Amino acid sequence: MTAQARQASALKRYTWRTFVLMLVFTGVLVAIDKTIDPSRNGWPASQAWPLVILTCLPLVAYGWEVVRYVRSIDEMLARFQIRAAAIAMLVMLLAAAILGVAEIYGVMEPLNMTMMLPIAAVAHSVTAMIQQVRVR
Amino acid sequence: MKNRLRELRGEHGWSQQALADRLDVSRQTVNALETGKYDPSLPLAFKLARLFGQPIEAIFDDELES
Repeated sequence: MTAQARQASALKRYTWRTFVLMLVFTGVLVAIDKTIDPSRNGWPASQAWPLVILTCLPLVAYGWEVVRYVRSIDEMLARFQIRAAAIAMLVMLLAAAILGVAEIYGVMEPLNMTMMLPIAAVAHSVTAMIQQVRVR
Repeated sequence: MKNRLRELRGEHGWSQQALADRLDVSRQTVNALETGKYDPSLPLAFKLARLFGQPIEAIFDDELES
């Protein structure tokens, strides 16, 4: 199998697993927030820890998939992905700061911080795409 | 960093894809190396040197000496 074919296969696997894991993550969050609603249903904080672990599991699996993907692609593409991740993190922090200030000044309603994840995902995809288009 | 990769690849009659397959990297990486947009890691530079049978400094020029 050529390097190109191996990378295409790794990308396919990464894309599908990421998609499924994000669906699971969202599903768990919605289930906890809308169905179980621990704080309103009188769950003590100590009993809510399993829910926290349950929420973290898909994210840990996602992290593992990221590591596997980056290790499977060649060094230049891996460097692009890592750079894109750093930029996505910066964008997420900037968005959190801007939205946080907007919230403090009452310009907008308090934001669920999980909304930062799609912003980071879009920033990561755009940055990775721009870098790869530049070397084609 | 300047390099002689395009010239050496031409001497061997290899396409970018053929060289990429020999190096176990993507074609984009070979293109980025040739155009100087990307500097290879030391292991990749050694791989190139072995493949073309030349020392690393004969392939890559850090422009300090010129």
